[in-house]
Formats: sequence, structure tokens, C-alpha cells
Amino acid sequence: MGLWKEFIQKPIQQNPVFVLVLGLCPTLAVSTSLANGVAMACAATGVLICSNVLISLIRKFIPNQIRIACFIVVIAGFVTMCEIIMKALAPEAINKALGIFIPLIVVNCIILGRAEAYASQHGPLASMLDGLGVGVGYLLSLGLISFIREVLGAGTLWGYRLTPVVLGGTTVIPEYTPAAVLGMAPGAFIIIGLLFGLFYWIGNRRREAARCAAVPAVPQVARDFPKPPKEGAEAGGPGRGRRAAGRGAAVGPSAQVLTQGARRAQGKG
Amino acid sequence: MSAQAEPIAPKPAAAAKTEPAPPTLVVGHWPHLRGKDSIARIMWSVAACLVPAALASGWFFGIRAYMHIGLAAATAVVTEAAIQRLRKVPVTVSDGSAVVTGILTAFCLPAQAGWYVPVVASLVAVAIAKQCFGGLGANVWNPALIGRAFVHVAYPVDLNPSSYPVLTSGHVTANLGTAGDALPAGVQAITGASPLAQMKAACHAVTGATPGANQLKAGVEAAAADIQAALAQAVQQAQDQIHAGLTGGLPHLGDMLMGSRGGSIGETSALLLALGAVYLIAKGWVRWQIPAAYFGAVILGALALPIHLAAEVTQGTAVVASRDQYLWAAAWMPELAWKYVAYHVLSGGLVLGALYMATDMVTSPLTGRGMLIFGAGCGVLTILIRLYGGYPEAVCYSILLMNTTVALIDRYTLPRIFGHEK
Repeated sequence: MGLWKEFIQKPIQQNPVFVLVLGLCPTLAVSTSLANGVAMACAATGVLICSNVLISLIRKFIPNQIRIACFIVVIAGFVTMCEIIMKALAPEAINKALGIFIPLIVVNCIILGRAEAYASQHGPLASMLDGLGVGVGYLLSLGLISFIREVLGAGTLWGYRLTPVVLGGTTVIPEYTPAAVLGMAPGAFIIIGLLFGLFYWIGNRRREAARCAAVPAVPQVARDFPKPPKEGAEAGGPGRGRRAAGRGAAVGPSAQVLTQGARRAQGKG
Repeated sequence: MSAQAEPIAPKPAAAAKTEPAPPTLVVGHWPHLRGKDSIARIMWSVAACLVPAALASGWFFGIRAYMHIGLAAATAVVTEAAIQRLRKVPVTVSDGSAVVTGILTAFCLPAQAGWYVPVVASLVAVAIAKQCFGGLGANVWNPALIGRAFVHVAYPVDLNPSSYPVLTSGHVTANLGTAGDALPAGVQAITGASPLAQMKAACHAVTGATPGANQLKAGVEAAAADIQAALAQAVQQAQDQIHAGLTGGLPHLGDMLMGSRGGSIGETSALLLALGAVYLIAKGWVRWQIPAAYFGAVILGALALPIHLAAEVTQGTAVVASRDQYLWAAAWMPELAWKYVAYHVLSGGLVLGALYMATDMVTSPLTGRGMLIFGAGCGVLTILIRLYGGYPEAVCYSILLMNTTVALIDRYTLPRIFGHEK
């Protein structure tokens, strides 16, 4: 059950692009269209699962000093297989678009990072689930980036041109003129930067909300003491903390100081 | 008592060292005189100074110019308000800075562009260049120019210089080269290259002069002579073209000054732009150092740097031979050199850029010395890109590049505190 719970949370909490900030080079390069992004993520996930399992199996035989080299050899083996399979099965256009980035999975830091941080310390089943979880996270983030870039930058989705929406003779959504810059390198940086900011902002709001939700019990204690410790007073006092908590606004520092002050007061009591 | 006071005294200093202090504004003793300047007052004044040029743009480029300015300004205001609401900071659209950003963004777009171009440019300017960096006062680059640079790469067809409108029906202007003075009935506008693009084309579009394949086969030496002749002819042609342009092919200098020439909406009317800028400089909101250094560097650069003429002989798609020739305007055509320099100053977005974009309070240096360095850097980059770079217009990118260096310039031009060693 613990394993399953960990696996379910992995794609978001251990998201390779937006949380671990790994493997940005292929992410920037191949996210020009959704098909490319999905193909790249699938290839990387396949290699990640296989290498995680194998490395986990042989982790006890690998001498610590040369472990990175051993990981790379294992990963390179799977990448070679993956490349051959993709050449045989994947459409020509996708092979052409991904090009050098499939062989470069060998040095993809997501895969090496998971081998080093997880597979070399956990059993094969846990490592497989880790690979799958992180791979799904990679698929989600790469899919999101390439979806935005393809729709806005090329005006297509999975290769199909977006057409104007006409309802009963009136054009509801006019013809979209693609902004070519989003399909190019600067566009990749802009989109990824904005998404980073967005996710950080959402995460921050959630953390603040969680912290504020935990606060209301504290002022109750703090109020019992007529003279709160100085830190608490500096941060605005218990009244402000409570008000802000009710609003759910961003008052992280004051809430934290308040908690400390209250805790100290409790200790004294 | 004193024994007790002593250990306490060093504490504030130690605390100040370890904790990052909030940004403080150090002021002297009271009483203070309160100035009437405020962000709103300055920004609305700038907007007012842009009005004459905005009104003139409709006269030159038709109703589309007004539409673009309106769209860009409205998008800027709506975007700013929406993002400030999301950020849970006070909504400050009434201070006019978003309006100014919108107007300036529209000013550097051609009237021929689709309706979405000003909207996207304005959106990028306010949302990405300004609010993502922390709002007014915290942006590193001029928002309007970022918006312009974005759409320049995003919609290359809309911003292609050759599609810039030259004149609209009903407005008669003399001397537009082959475009002619009288417009046929029913024609809304004629598009043609802006003066800068014309000059650039004269220098670089001399590829061609392809010798026949049989001539090349006849013998290597004969072919080499042919190629040399073709190259010499092409260079001569380019030279003639520039000369012809300066003696009559380009729009009249008077038109350049008034603004009836090809270009972006708000950049053409040098005179009206200068009118507003004179007011801003007199008020002290725009310091003279930046425009002066900017124009000075462009003028000196145009005189000191040679024009690059490139000729190529091609066969099929392969370049068989090429020749580069450098000509100093002052030495080659002394009687026309002033005209050449005048075209450099008046064409493109230089007047708009030097007076309104480079002088943006947020993205320019703080000290007079720094402003001189900043303006000169903008000017040098502009003239270098114009003469040797790929783009016909360079003001946007040179200002953005120099914006990047502002923090560095400020650091090295800090005034020495009186009484301190250097």
C-alpha cells in the first residue's frame, strides 16, 4: 500500500521537469509538437523503467566508486534497443524530428538521476514503479508543453490543422494565426518559464493555505498571554495573523513567527 | 549605566549585517519640500506628448492606425488590471503606465499588420515583460520593445518591412520613387519598402549577374574574367542605386521630417515626436543625455563607418564568387554625406526610440554619466546593425541589448560619496 501511494503521488510531487528540474534539454528541443513530445516521453519512460529495474537488481554488485559508469553502460544498452525499436516501428516523421535526442537519452539526467537517487537503493519492484511514476510525470509535463507550443506556435494539434469554428453561419472562433516564435527556441524558454512560475505560484498558494488552516488554534493560546514575545509583536500580533488566516491571504512569515512565539509561550507555561 | 549600554550598542549593526534589510530610501533632515510629480502625472504627460504623433498616424496610414493604438492600449490596461488582481496587489491602471506601454507598443507596429498583432504585442509587453518581473519599476527591459520583438519573430509576415504602408489614398506625397504620386481610384494603400529597407536593399540585393553556363565551360580563365566583370558591374550598380536614392529615389527629407513615409505607425513623424519630447525634457522627466548621446553616436557612426556593398555571382543556387567593397559616405560623395546622415537619423524608429523608448525611467541608468554611456551604446549598436547586420531596423534590439547592461552601468557610474575615498 505504501508503495502504491508513493507511486500515485510521484508524477506530480517528483515531476522531473517542474519539480526536479531535470532533462530540460530534450524537453526544450523536442516539444515542438504533441506527437514528438509524447514519442520522446514514451521512449525515455521505457528506458527509465528498464534501466531502473536492472540497476536495482545488480545494485549490490556494483562497486561504489564506478557506479556512475555502470549506470551509463546499462542505460546505453537500453537506449540502443529503444533506438532500434523506434527506427523499426515509429513513423518516419517522428524519427526524423527526434533525431539525435533518442541516442542522447543515454545522458538524460532524469534517467541517471533516478538510477542514482532511487534504483541503487531500492528493490526492483519499487524501482519499476518509480520509473513508471517519474515517466508518467515526464509524459504529463512534456505533453503539456508540447500541446501549448503546437497549438499556439503552429496552429495544429497532433498534426491536424485547427479550423475556425462556425456556428449557424457566424464565425465563433476566427481563423488562428500561429505565432511562429513559440515553435522556435525562444518560445520554448518562454513557455517553460511561464509554466514554472505558474506551478510555483499554485504550489505556494497551496502551502500558504495549508499553513493558514493550521494557524487558528494557535492565536487562542497566544491570546491567553497579555504580553506576547517580541517576535510575535513585530510580525503584527495575533490579531493580524487571525484576520489573515480567515482571508486565506499570504501571511506566511507572520504566521510562522506566531507559531514559534506561541510554542515558546506554551513551553513557559 | 554606561557599562550596560555598551554591549547593547553594537547589536543593531550586527543585526543589520546578518539580516537582509528591506530597501530603504535615505533622505536628509526635514523639513522637506513635496514635489507635485507622481507616477500618474508623469505617465499621463507622456501619453499626452504622444497624442500629436498618434493623431498624425491616422492621417498617414489611415483608420487602421487608430484601431491599432486603441487595441494595444485597451489590451495593456485589461491585462495589467487582470494580473494585478491575480497577484493581489493594488490595481494601478489609473496611473497611465499601462496606457503609455500600449500606445508605444502600437507605435512600433506597421498599420498593415493584422488586428491580433497589436493585441499580442501589448499582452506580451504587459504580462511577460512587466508583470512577470514584478510590475512597474521592476522590469529589466522596455515592455513595449519586448512586445515588438516578440511579434517581430512571431508574425514575420505581418512585420515584413516591405509590407509597410507608404501612403494612403487622399494623402498626396511627392517623390516616392516608383510608387508615384497619384493613387488610382479604389486603391486603399500602396505598400513598399521603408526608406531604411530601401537603403539596405541597395547594398545587399546585388546578387545575380549570372554568367551563362556555356561561358563558364569555355575556359577557367575566361570565366574568371567574366565573373570579375560581373562583380564589378554589380558593385557599380549598387553604388549607383544608393546615389540615386539619396538624390531622389528616397522620400523627401521634408517628408521624412513630417512623417509621410513608410514605417511603423508612430515612428514616422519626427517633428511631432520631438515636440512632445521637448516638453518632457523641459519638465526634467526625460533627461537630455540619452537622446543626445544616442543621436550623436548614430551621426558619428554613419560618418565614420563604411557602407558595405556585397556582390555575388551565383550559378543556380551556388555562389560562384563574391566581392565585398567598403565605401565611406563622406569620402565617396562629400556633397551628399549630410543627406545620408540625415536619412540615418530620420528613418526607422530612431527618433521614437531615442526620445521615448531609451529614455524610459525604469530601464535607463540613474546618473548623467551612465545615461551618456547608455545612449552612446544604443547608438553604436543601432548603426552597426543597420550597416552590417541582417535587419534593416535596429533600434528595437539595440535598446533592448543596452537595457540589459543598465545595472552594470549604474554600478560603475555610482557617484562618489562626498568625503569618502574612492
